[in-house]
Amino acid sequence: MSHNEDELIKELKELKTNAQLDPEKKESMKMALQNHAKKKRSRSKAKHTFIWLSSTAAVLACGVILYTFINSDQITLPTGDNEQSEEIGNAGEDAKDPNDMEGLGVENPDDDDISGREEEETPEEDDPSGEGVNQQEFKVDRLGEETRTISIEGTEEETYVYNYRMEPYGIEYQVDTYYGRYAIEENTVRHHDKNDEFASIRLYVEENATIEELANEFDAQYNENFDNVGEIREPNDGENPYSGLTQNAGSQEYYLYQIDENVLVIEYEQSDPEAGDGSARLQTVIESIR
Amino acid sequence: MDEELITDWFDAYADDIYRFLVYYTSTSDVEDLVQEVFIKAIDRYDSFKGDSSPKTWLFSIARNLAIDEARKQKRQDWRKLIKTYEHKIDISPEDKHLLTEKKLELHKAITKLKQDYRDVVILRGIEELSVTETANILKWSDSKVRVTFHRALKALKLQVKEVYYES
Repeated sequence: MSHNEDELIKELKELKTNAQLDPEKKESMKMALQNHAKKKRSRSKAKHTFIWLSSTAAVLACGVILYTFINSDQITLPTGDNEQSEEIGNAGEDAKDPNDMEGLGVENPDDDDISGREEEETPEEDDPSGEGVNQQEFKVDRLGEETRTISIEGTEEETYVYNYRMEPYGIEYQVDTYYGRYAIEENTVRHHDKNDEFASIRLYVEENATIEELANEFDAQYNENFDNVGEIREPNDGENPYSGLTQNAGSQEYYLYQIDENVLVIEYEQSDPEAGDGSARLQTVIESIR
Repeated sequence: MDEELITDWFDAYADDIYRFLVYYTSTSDVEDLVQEVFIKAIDRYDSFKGDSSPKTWLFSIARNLAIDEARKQKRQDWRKLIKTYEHKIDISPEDKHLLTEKKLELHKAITKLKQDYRDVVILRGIEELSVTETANILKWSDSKVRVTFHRALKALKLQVKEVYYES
């Protein structure tokens, strides 16, 4: 048997049959395929739905985490926090950490620890005092924390201070973390030590007043309540740009600063006479008024 | 892949796929394989990019399945295969017998060819697909199809002789 190429191709073409699938078989196969396609499509739809839902959930979770992170990381204290928990900051165990009063500190008010020291800041008990605090008008934002070297009785020490801004007056000042907790009481902010047992500093603004008028009022008050009332004098307040007056009586002391038409009043009260350096730390506040 | 599309494809190409599988496996018992080809097409539809026609894509699926099937099933059912030609033969019983025998010898010779040659002989020679269609199915270049087909025919001639003398 011999072939040339053309013959072979012809023979190959003749191998082509007209064989077809059995029509009945074909129909049943078609049905089976349609069912398979249907199942496949619904499985695929379910898979896509699952992927879509899990992606959405993941994105939402990331959003919530990010929001929480940003929220907890923001530098200023939201007004609402002060409303719900009046007492917020705590300088920690500063009694065992007698630092000086020249530090400026910026830190997140929610942080618990500050490396290199034992101070901690924990929210105090809620005190929804209805003392008429108008948060929209009066509030104090903690802007952060920084370190400063201060001098206590001639010894230089590094301490931490919080930066605050009093609104709506825009008055900025620093408070040693020793007075790390503070509370808003009406239009007054009161900074105090962790257990509120040694000393506290109150700040508020008397609007449309002069330091002389207020000094006279304080003087009268002090003379009424105390035996050892000091003279009204100009404070030693470093780089504080405002003119001021101060007076002390027993365990109390006040500072008045004329800021435009208003007077910033700083009252210091020492509960425990043993807490000598508490008074020294007050110096940070009066030097830092801006 | 929706039901409508697979139905359209099945209507259009099921018989082509059936015949291709008959040539490739040398048996007419390939209905299950035909169905499997379309099931695979449904499952792999996402990978069908539309660069080639559905027909050549289905043929390439069928070819892969047929190769797997051929590995599993070494024996061809020649009697059933002959039956696929009977209905179109309208000649004397003697001629019919001779013709059938001749076709059978050619089939046997094709099955003895190496894989590449068998592919190209079935697709180009029997199915009469174009060079481009064959190239798409086998994922070859057009020139490779031409050259391999030419070589396959030469090899087939030798195989036909051997089969002839064997029988």
